[in-house]
Amino acid sequence: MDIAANPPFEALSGLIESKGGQAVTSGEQREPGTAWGALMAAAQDGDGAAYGRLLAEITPMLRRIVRRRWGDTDCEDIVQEVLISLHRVRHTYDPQRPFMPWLMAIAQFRVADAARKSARRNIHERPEWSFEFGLPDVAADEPDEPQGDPQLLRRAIANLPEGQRRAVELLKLEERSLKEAAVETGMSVGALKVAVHRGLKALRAAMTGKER
Amino acid sequence: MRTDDLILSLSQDARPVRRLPPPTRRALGWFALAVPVVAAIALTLGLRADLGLRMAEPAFVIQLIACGLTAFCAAIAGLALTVPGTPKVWALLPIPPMLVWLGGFGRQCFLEWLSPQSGELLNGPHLHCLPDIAVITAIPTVVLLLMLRRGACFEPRLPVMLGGLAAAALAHGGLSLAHPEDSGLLVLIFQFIAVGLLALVVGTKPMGMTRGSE
Repeated sequence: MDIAANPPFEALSGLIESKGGQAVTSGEQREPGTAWGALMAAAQDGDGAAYGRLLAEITPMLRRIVRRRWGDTDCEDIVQEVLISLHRVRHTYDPQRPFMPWLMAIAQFRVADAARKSARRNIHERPEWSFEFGLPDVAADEPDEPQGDPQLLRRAIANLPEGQRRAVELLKLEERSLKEAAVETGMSVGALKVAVHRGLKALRAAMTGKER
Repeated sequence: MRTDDLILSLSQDARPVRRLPPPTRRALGWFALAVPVVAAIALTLGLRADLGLRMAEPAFVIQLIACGLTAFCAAIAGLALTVPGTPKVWALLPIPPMLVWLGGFGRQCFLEWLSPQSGELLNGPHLHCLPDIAVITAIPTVVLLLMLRRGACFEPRLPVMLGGLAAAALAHGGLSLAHPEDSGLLVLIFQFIAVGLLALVVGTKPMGMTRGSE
């Protein structure tokens, strides 16, 4: 396959060039894709050190790509999702083929997936804007709770205890079922229900500044 | 979790994985398994009485070869698309043999339409072939779907549809050795309904993203 003709690779080449070819943190002058392909092949054979080095080297580049396509919001979360996806599908990499198109396909999918989730979340957060619910009543009193600052909410979620944060993210943001979330976290369904209840209560308190 | 901690945790979990062989080798593996199965089922159903005569007809032989090539190319294309970064243009690989294969129907329909006697294709679907079609398509389809699931695909509909095409072409080749009536159209209809439903069910979620293949 001609990697130079591959659009994701072209985009990537631009990013690498824009950084003066410093994508490889070791400072060696080499084709990053080739070196990373060799590291990935070693990682497939169980070489943890090579794998750690590969992930550390590609992360700054992934961060730039995600930032360019998505923006700063949730950038680090998406980068982490790319790394986790790469880990899960690492058996599909063929060392005989270029590394960059393989990596870029995973990164592109994760960015697109983040966009899909965000769009779905926005729809669920603003039901009053849909025809089904009618137009917003501008004459009505302001609700008790403020409309919400997404940054504040994000910070409030990040400040939740680990169990509550995972429960809120999986059940409320990603809309997973209790069963799926239980498999993902290793928590029982009961514990998840309690965690999400407490998490939402804590979030409400954090957003409104008062206990309920 | 910080990204550095995640990298550390992933690198500590770097167990050796079994690499996915190239799609051509995987397709050969599927072919090596599916062809004997389809041939055995065709033999069990009983070879058609006029097989010797039909094998002397170039059109029949060409269509049989086109069936096999369509199956092989569709399997390669489907399996290739389960490797991240594979260009979607691979999906076009089975098109040329498929055109020859489907062109055989068109030619036969046209000849029957010209003929004063009604022929096998324009006589309506041979519904009694349906159980044989279900049996002969089931194993190649299931095996190929399992092979597709070993890969990783973010939009699995296309690979699933190509897998269905591969199994349909192979099944039609096998059935044309056993059935005196040409059941190709029914095979296609049956398989596209089955695979279409399957694609609706399994094609909505990314494939192979939930676990590694250690």
